[in-house]
Amino acid sequence: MVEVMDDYDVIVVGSGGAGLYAAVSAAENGLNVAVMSKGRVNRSGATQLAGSGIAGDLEADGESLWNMGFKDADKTHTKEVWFKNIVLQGSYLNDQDLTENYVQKAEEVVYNLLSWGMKPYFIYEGVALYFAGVHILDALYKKAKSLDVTSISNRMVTDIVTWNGMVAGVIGIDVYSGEIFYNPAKAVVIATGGCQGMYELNTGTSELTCDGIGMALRAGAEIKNMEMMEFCNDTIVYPRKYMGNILPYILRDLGYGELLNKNGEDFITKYFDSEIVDIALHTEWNKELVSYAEYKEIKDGRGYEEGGVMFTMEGSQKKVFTEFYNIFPMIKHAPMDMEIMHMLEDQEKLYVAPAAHYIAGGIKVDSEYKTNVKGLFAAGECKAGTFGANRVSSALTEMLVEGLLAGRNVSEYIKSMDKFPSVSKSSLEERFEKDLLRPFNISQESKFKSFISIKKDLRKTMWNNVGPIKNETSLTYALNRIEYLLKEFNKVNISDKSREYNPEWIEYLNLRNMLHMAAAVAKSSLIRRESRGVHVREDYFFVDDENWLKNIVIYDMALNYSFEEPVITRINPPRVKMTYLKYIKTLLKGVKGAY
Amino acid sequence: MEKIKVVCFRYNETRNPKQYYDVFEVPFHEKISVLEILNYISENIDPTLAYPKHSLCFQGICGECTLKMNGKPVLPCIETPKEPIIIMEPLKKDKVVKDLVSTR
Repeated sequence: MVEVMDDYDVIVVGSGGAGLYAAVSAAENGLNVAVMSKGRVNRSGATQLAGSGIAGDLEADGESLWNMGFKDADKTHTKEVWFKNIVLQGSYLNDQDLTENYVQKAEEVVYNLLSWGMKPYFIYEGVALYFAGVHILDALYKKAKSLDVTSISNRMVTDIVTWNGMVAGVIGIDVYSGEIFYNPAKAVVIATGGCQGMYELNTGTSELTCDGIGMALRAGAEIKNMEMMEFCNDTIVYPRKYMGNILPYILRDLGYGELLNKNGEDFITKYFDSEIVDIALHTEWNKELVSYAEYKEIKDGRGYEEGGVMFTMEGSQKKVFTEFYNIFPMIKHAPMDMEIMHMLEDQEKLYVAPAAHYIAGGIKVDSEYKTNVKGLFAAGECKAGTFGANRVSSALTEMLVEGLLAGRNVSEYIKSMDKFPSVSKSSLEERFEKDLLRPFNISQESKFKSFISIKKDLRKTMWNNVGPIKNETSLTYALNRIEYLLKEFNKVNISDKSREYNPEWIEYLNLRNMLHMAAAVAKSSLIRRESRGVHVREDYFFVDDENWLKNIVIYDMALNYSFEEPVITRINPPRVKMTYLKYIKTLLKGVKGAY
Repeated sequence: MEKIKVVCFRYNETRNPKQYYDVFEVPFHEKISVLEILNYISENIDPTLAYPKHSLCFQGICGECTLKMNGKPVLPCIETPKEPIIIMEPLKKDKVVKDLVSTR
């Protein structure tokens, strides 16, 4: 049975920074807003993990920060300079109208956060203010409450309900009671973050299973550039207790510690010339280039049996640690980070590898964050376009700017419409309930004894074949394997038939999105026969603008696709064909500074 | 110790209206977290064991995994047991939904 619940002007799905800001912004424009979160509103999603929970960087252009009174800001870093940096390093695949929004509105969101009483720890490289992600969430949550936004926690939204191509509300499950609810709404903003969960080693929270992108595609929205999966180098893989923690990445970014392979060698210089090594150590391209080297070492058997390469701070003196604690005072409140630091102080070793970190592809939107489904908007990581093929600027800024604008634009949309669809309870049961409850009523036998074993197989497949370095053989294998997993997935049943907090059912609902979206990542990676940004093909180790300066747009659940030109507003891309590494060098010659 | 005994509170009104405890044996090492122990049970012994897992940060930040271990509230993602036997219970037994999961 589907319960019909309260209706709202707009329902925001997801309660990280993008979701909460969209809710605030829509409510400020007079709308009746609910924010629904798979977990607890205000403590779910990746926002809280920004910079390992202690060092989230929120960027604006240095000139605006200077004008706000930050005397360490880099005045010469103007909006124009910043825009160019992002588009060039996005390898010109950005939708420049979205990049434009990002650069123009960053100042406003920073100003708002400061006016709500937030204080940054310090300013870095003249452009980034450092906050803890939870402080940003708390400020937004407080603001949302003051505007009477309704918060609904532990509501796992499973589907966007549409009628004649228009949004009519959302279907979701109360994770605790297992009841299925329908809430009518005139518009929906998807702000569900990324797809990290399709890899075992990832830097996200457990709920990031590509839900928003999956349900958008099911509802008829287009998605694009799913091959742009970014990995974060130096992420802890062992001890497994700390799996997914990026403290070694932050330490190495500040110049501390070293990486060694099984033979005790520093290996990065093996793969790159001195100019690229310099880029790998001192720019945002560290994520691609160091991940490349780490992945090679591990795949070629020079990793440790613990599952990665070694990170050590052996020989570092006490004062190095004191210095680090002084830079990030918040670390004293982050118990896991402190445990890791104590290990390092005791000269113990950590093992690290590239972890799934961020997806630059996702739901296709226009400059108002509208999808091609009427009334359906998307903001933050779950949507594509702002960063092209590589995100070199703050994702915190992205979520806030896009939440702000999506909330405003939703209000414009609702004002412009005079009729909204309504759907009957019986059609909801027919269209949605059956599929949601399917694994409770299955009598077939699968080779997989549970959904968890399917997830494990998917994760292994993705890491081995759709990792930081890809090729035709690996991607073809991955696609076939996922197709097989999808078949088996339909035969797995749930052993505990009670619907209250049912871990097997939750796994089913996660995989329902994640399996299809993993196939989208593998398929897009196979289609793009070149290397660009975070997408690296060893069999096509070059950038080919003539053929590939275009977006791969997937428009249905069978993953049929078409190509589209990126939106160009100010910077005309040159048309070149050159090796991947030479292309990176060329891009960086055109930008000012590393940021 | 090479193995740890995990005594888990079990209850669900729909499934079985009686409260009881199950005992699981799990391989142990000195840096294992309670969350890893529960994952081991779920993946290798009993997939029906319910414990908070649908929305977790794994890093001691969100607080959503909070459970009672030997009568005291702990964060399973950062807690490493020191005794050979642990008793796991929901944070609020009077608000239990299923096994180790309770509402706030």
